[in-house]
Amino acid sequence: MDSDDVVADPDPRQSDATPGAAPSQLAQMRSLTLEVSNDAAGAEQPAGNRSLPADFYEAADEIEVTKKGCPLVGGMAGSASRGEPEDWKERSELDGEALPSPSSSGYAGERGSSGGSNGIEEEADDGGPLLPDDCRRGKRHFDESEDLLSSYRIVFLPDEDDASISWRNRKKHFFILSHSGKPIYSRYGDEHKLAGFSATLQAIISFVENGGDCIKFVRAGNHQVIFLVKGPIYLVCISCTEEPYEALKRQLELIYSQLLLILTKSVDRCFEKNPKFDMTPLLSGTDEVFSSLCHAFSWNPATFLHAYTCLPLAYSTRQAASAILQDVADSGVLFALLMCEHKVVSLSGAQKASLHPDDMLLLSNFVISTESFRTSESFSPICLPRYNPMVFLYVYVHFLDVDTYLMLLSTSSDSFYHLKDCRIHIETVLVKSNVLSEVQRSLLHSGLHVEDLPVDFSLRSGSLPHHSAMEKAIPDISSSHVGIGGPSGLWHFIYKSVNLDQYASSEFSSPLNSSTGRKRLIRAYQKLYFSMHDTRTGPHKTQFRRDEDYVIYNFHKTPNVAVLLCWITQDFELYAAFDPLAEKAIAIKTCNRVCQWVRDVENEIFLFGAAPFSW
Amino acid sequence: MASRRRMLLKVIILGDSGVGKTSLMNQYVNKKFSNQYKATIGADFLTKEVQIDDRLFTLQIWDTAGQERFQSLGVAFYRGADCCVLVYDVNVMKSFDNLNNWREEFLIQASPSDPENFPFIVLGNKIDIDGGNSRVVSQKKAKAWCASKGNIPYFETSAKEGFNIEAAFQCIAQNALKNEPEEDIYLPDTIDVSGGARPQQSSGCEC
Amino acid sequence: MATAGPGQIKKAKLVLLGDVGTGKSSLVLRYLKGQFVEFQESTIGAAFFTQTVVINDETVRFEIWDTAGQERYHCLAPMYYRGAAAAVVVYDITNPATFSRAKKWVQELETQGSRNTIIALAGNKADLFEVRQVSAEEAQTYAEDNGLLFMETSAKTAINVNDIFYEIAKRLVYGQPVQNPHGVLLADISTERPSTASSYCCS
Repeated sequence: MDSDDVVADPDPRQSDATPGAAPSQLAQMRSLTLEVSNDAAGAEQPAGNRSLPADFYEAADEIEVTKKGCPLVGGMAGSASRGEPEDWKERSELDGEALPSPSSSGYAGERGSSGGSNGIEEEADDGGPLLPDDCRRGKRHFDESEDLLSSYRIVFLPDEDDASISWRNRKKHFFILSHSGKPIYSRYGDEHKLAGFSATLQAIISFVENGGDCIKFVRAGNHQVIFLVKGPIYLVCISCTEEPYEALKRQLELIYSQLLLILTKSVDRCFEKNPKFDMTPLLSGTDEVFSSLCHAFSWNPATFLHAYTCLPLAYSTRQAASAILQDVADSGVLFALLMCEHKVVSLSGAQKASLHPDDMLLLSNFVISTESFRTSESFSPICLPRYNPMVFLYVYVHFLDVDTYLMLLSTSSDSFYHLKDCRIHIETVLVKSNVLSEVQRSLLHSGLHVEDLPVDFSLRSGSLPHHSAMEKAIPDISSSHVGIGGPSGLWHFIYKSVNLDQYASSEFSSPLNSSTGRKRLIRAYQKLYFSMHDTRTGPHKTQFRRDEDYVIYNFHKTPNVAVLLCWITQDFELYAAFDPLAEKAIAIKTCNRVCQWVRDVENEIFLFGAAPFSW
Repeated sequence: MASRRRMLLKVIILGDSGVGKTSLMNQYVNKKFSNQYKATIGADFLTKEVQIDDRLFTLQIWDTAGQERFQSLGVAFYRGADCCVLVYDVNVMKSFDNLNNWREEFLIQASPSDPENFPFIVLGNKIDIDGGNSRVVSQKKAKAWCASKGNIPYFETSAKEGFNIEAAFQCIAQNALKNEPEEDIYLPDTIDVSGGARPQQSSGCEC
Repeated sequence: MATAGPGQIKKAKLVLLGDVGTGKSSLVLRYLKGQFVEFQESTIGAAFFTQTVVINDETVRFEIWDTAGQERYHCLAPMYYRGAAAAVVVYDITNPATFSRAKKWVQELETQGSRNTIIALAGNKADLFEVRQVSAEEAQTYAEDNGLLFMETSAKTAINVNDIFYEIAKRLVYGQPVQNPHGVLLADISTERPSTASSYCCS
């Protein structure tokens, strides 16, 4: 974590700033380099010292969503409280409290797609792997909505060209802009229409830089604004999701890496040659890739765990796949990956080549969200940012069935026919050894279910129970709640193997199988993760706490506050969510049982024997 | 999915305070707009879309404050500007005299690759004040200065008559089009170990 | 293109080039499957297909590269058109900018590509003739001046789609016709097209 010293991060381009200019200005700007305290409870720092000019906060608030109940004509649309439900209660419809009715009904009409639930929450909220349709909904859907709102635009359009009330009320925005302030990408809305807004962001960054500092974070009301500068490319996140600063910064880093995957870092040279360079056209056709990644932040723990997950498979099945992939890797292919949705079936790499889980995440995101890869076989330049951010490699992609796809990476632009032949060979072997049918079966039936956590380890079988079997579920020990979670009130867990860079996550079952429930749980784990790994407060071993922010409903619709437990050792990390009435001692015992269980079935849930991936 | 790519132009508006830059922009962008950020950050920002023939332009307008305390921000603010609009008040000689300073300072801070040909526009504002009687800078004088600085296009306007502003910005867009680079500047590197290809370097070759 | 005796399968690499949204993927889909989708997704990188066509006794197997039109791929395009036996350069008859772009592609192929590549110019979206902005005459003239095969096609209505591929196959088998005032003569496929010389530092 970067130093907390407010005057740190000297601007490498200091020569541009006028030395000694306006010291009072400098003093004012120091207070902008706030970093959120990493206190697990997420306590907020007061946003600065008292010496800031009185209108500064008004200015800051004007940049984001605004005060409650302000009339729209002045450009202040909506209300901050509508951005994020204060109490995390699930809502079935939009809270229209601050605005007169036309906009809320127009707004609900715009939402349409999410089945009428969750009102103004983020797009495509189902918390699961995103299907192409969902991705499309992300941004194009919004554009469609502009038409619906057109009659309202005349009345409500604020002075900035930034869009409609609905735009201002999104919970989490991501922007990419150039160092000249020209917009490159916006998660919501049309980048060009947001040109003025983009300029504002650049001005803020420049203003602080001019004072010899480097802006990282601003808090204004319910919103956090995170800044990340990567050479000539600036990334900004505006969020009222209460995620920790480190988490949001990491998300910006991933978005930047996704951009590198598509363009490589050579794009920096374009700005060197021409500061006027307009980068937006270079990203043409990749909206779905970015919106899918943004969506992944809310359901995919790989986005913060630095690990990948495997599809559970019988050891021999996975071995068959691994063997053929290894053959192919030995024949001159840099990396070979066989994946099913976002889960790995098997992978291998050429000797001494290592593949970082972040690169895997971004690569699979790129492939899954690009419809054209499904049509036949494709050959495309891509960059692996952790492998080498400066150059393009080439990826051969082929979908073996609707969910399963093969990616073969090479350093040679001439390698297509070789890779094609490899694919044919691989496919033949996979079909012969029934791997593909096993994969399909696993998708439907397999996985770790908390209800299956063995009570008696003398009975352990070393393999996952098949859920189509007729075994009776182990009776729930905690009798106070009906049908919730497994033994001892365990609702869900994620186990990460540090040595393997892989994690295994239990399946979601009631009460967690709503999209909102899942999203909130992942967010809670994320918060726990960053709190545990906070280098300032020292590496932690365990935490057991009630997470007041994490509220879900049980069958009887009364709120439950989950209890989370996190346990970190040199070899593994365990994150677990328990029923609120769980007792600490029992929870700890349960965690031990989970670890034992994971070890028992490790041959099915992890990939062993692949070339060591170290970096 | 048209290939009529929208072009984004960064336009800097410079001039003494009080010449009416803000109301001009107000009128042009046609939005209800007030000085939001200028006092704190040194500029206000506007977006305007214009269409010329069948091309769409998005103008990103930087209405900068004149004050000295924001002077050091020039390098960052002017970076990547596609053109610059210089505004003066025809009734205030000083504001006309200062045009030279504004232009020079812009060129120093922005350091465009081709300063001689950097697109400027001059707007003479407030021509209708007092029926034109308090005017002190004649059109002739203004045009002469513009001509001497590389034939800068000159427009006169007032808060009431918006039409010339449209013409001024159309002119900006057209000039910017002339500066559109022909060849690609995006030349990524590949590790290409195949025999047939050459290593892609940014050696200035045109692909 | 691999030379083969009569009766054997001639493999021919065929690349589709053209601006974003001109309908390259739609043309391929129409040609291969007789289908059309109104909102075709953008191609990323390039998609590969094969299609066999029979001309009398000769069989040509097209190895088709449907490339992405986005400008970020421009500098990488040589890897797709390198050594191509044929190229279809596509533009949209309702969008003059795509026609200009198509001309640049033709120029690039002529200077950087293989000399023997058969280039076909496809004015796609011919079904939108009512809002056409590029005249067929202008394109025809340009094609003749540069020795290109030219057809206006519509992936939507299937007009000329099979024809343009068939015509390319014919030329691959029988050679390019050489224009002269006395009529069309069949010429040897190895006849060189006059190259517009200009010096580039990339080979």
